[in-house]
Amino acid sequence: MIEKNNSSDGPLLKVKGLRKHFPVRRGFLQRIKGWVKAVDGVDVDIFRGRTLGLVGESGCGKSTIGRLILKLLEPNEGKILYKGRDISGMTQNEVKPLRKEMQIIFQDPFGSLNPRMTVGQSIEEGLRTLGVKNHGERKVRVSQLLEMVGIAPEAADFYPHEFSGGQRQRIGIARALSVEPSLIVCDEPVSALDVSIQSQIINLLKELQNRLGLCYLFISHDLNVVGYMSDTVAVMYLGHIMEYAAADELYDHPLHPYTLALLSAVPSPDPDHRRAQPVLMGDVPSALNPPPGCKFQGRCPLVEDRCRRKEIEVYQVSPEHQVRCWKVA
Amino acid sequence: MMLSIQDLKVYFFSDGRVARALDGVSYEARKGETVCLVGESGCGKTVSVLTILRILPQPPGRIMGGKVLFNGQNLLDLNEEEMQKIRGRRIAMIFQEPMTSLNPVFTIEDQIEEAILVHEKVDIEEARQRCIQLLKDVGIPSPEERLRDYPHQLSGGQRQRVMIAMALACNPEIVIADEPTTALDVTIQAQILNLFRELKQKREMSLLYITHDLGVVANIADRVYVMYAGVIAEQGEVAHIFHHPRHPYTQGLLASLPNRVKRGKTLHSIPGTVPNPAYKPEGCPFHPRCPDVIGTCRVQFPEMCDYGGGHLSRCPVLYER
Repeated sequence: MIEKNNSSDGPLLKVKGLRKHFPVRRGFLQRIKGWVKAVDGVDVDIFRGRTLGLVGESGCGKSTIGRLILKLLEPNEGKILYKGRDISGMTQNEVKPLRKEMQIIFQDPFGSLNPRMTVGQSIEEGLRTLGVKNHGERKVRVSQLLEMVGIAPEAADFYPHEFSGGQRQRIGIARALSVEPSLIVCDEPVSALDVSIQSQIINLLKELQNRLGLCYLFISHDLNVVGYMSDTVAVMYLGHIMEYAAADELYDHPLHPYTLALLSAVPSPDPDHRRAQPVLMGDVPSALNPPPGCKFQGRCPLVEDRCRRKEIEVYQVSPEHQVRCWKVA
Repeated sequence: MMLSIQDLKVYFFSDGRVARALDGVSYEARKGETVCLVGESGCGKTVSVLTILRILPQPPGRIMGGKVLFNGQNLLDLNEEEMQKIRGRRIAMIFQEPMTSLNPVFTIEDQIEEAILVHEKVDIEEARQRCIQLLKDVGIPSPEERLRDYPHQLSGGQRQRVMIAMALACNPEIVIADEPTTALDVTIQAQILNLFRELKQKREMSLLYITHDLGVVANIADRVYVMYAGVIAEQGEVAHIFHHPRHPYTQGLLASLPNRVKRGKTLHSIPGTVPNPAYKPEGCPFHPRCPDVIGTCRVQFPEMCDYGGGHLSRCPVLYER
């Protein structure tokens, strides 16, 4: 398997053959006119205390995977094994006890905090679902959680709009932690933050992971942030994972032409390394009714006939490295 | 000097408070040069360009002092009619979100031609030909067919190319671009940055580029101004700023950039948050977050210190060390 397994009981979360196709309805009768294949056969494993980075451009399906794992969306096909149990077929009632174990942090924490509730009340809600009935106990726990994310406990009585973006993200993290989860889906958690605040939040997430043994699915379009955060990285393009490898392996020996293009497109903060090589041409195509064969064929510099004919399978090039391209494998 | 902003002060008055958005800012762009203004949200980057173009909302904003010299002429002295001859024609602007700057009910052709016809006496056929040529220049495939498209029919990257074509329509002497690639995917951003570089060489125009992304700055800038809380913290050639930063803020920003080489180590971070412009600290605005703070920083506004070669930094503490 991709990652060395520290614990004896396998990955915390195993995703197998996950598919989510959204129907596109048009016209008066709202007939289905096509399908957006947002997630089209994805396999990944997430291990305890580790971070899986999911990177790709807008519309590649990375956020959809996060929502499928949390059962905020129902997959069309595939399995989501959490601690060995398949949760993909479970009803919302059955999955309820598991909700505590899986939480999400969003890009815009303001959109996810109720503006009419104080920060303390928002965090307390999580504690109620955890079954903490004693009011005093909840108050103490709220203070602890706020302190844990670096916010003064007195802030519990303030409303979300009274905080800056970075502080709101800290509050979002405190609320996610309130139910003592094992897995947190971080969906672009630092993308909306200023550079000086971004590093504070990244450090906080890392520190909490070390302290609480959290497992992260870290979704981002920023290869630098993903490279810093992740143990394993999956590169997505139009619903497919194109390359999946241990982080160092992926950054040191990228194989897929898309990974190469993505890495070379990131502007380096060093004026001596200005990009001279040609960049990837064309736009990310729409996920609506993609052509048969490799999803990257339209922009790929190595494209050949075979890429257009049939779907490309995943090649295991080394124990820690998978790539969905027959030309480089 | 193509564009020179001198000691510009812009304050915002609301709720009985004064927010000093620009507190004596000076910067300049020479002919054919790419100048980057870099800083975090609320540092005054955008306010400064709105002031240059005289589209600052007044009130609540008010220009309290300073000059905006464009080829020696102070734009702040011009009336609206005179300003219209400069805005869009000699100084063009590109915004972050192309969809909000393009009119959704007009075609691409209408919008680019309008930019030409407003400023120049040409007939419609010539305007149309210029329009096609511009779309070609900014790398839009089969431009003749795109002319009749509406903005929603284009992708984000193509919309930004159309915005650039509009900005270039009257051969401006300087283009001001405010975070033009922030909303774009990284591969599209790389295309647009290449386009800027190419156009700048071909047209000998100046580019004033505003961004918060230090990677973009390193890739495109000739010279850089680092802004913090309404003042210029540091300025200099791009290599000086990135290889020998002389201001604790610049040093902190560069050190806090994550990348995979730093994994496993705690990332450097600047403590605290950007101050609210209405409650700026006394003395150096950066002092509450500064690792090198000494007593005088808390009371005395720091002077610019000259490191030679156009490299200036507003931190006497590091200068004297």
